[in-house]
Amino acid sequence: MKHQMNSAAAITGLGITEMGRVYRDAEDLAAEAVFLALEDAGLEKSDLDGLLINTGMGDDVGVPLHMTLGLQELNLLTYMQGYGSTAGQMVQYAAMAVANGLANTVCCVFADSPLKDKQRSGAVSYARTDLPSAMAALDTVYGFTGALPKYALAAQRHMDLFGTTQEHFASVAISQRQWAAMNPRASKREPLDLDSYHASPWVVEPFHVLDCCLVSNGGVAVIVTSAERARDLKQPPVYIRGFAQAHNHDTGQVGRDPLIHTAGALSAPRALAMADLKVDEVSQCQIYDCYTYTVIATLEDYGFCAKGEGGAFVAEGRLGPGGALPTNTGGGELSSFYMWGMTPISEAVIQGRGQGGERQAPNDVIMVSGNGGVLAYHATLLLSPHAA
Amino acid sequence: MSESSPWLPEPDELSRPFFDGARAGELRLQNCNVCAGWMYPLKKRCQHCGSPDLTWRVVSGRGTLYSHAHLQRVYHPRHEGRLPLMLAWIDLEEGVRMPSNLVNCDPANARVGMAVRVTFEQFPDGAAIPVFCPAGRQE
Repeated sequence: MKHQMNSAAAITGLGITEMGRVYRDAEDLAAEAVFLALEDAGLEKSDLDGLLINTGMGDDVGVPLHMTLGLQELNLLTYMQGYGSTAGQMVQYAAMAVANGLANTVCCVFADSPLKDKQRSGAVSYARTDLPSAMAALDTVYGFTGALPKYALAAQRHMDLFGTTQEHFASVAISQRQWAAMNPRASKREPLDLDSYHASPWVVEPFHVLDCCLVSNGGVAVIVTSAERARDLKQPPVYIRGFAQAHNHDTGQVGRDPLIHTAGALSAPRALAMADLKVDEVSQCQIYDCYTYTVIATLEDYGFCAKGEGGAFVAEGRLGPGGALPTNTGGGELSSFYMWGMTPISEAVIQGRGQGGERQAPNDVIMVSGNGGVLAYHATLLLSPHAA
Repeated sequence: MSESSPWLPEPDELSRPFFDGARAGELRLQNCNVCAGWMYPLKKRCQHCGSPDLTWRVVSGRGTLYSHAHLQRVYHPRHEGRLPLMLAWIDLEEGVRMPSNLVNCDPANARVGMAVRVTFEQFPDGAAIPVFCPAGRQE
């Protein structure tokens, strides 16, 4: 029997602001993204009755955004924070709200502006630099500053356990750069080869700079409404076929291994079951790629290959243009822009509508991941141009 | 009590046993008086059973390397002149995974699963932190 949420809701509007070194405040970027999404969907501001809001590590965007937008009489309004999994979560809560009559048309928006004028992107850190207590300072003293070192440790463990190589990580970065070359919005479009990858400076070995996502200012909004209503709107609906979340933090207990067997392994089977799909029916992936390793670990955990075989799986262009599993077809967070979970979702909407232009890939079933914390917080979406 | 280290704020009441232990050459962790579970970092309540009845106890300092990586950029004054600093996650015998550094080890020899033991790094002002070295290594 079809799950009641399978194809009950659809994404009908997409707004993407200018991206990158855009020195504007995050709330204004959020507002612009909402208006762009409304225009894209052919909706009026007064059609919106739900607003879900997320921003990065700053606090410039919050619930007051509804006042900035002049929205009145909302049926759904909140700020959410599940880090990189939030965007996927927002779409899920929006889908449940519209399917159950809590709201009709919900906008999910993310905006952030960590880049400041005349500052190198490398100088931007998502890590805490204030040292409020000796115990909190100890992580920094050890060099465990922010998420990056922990992802590097996760990647190194994968290398030691399974023989994953630096060339495997490079394959992810290179495939995505090939996609980015076909995306006018992408920040990094110049060709990338293995030599340039190896020449890229180390940050925390085994990660080069080119293993790490970009830092971007910008905003992205998507509008979720019922499948029935979406069919009457301007854009081709992108149906929400299945979804799930899993949050499986490394609690510092020996014997658990959530940096290798991530929360995605728990989320994916449930999302696939809701959609009544098998992983081999997936046409393309939009995978949260804060680091190259994240793509490899997520594809394994989603069941595209066995645990430990992800390195070989992504080699030889499988994820790139013309590959068997087109992945991160806009260039992803590594090469296009870093809007947390909205990077994979926005590209999934473009692909789901068939609006990818020269980078359009087969789109029957699009598997989308959102990942936050250090492989701790996870959201999976299965999207399709076809309702079940 | 000496002045606060420029590298490490003065410990508060909650964390003082950990840092006093390091000065004394002991790795101390919180242990639950109800369920006997160990935990790190600091908790006010047992991570396992929820009890607030916790006691600091000395642990073995023996463990294995869960993973390692090489810090290649300075994020703290201690890192100056020490790059690449070896980041290490240690699985202690007591069942707790803690972040630290691997010292006295050729980076080429670091492997997941290798046996390690605790040692202590003294800061100029007398403060100390636990770090880890290969288990067979003689000081």
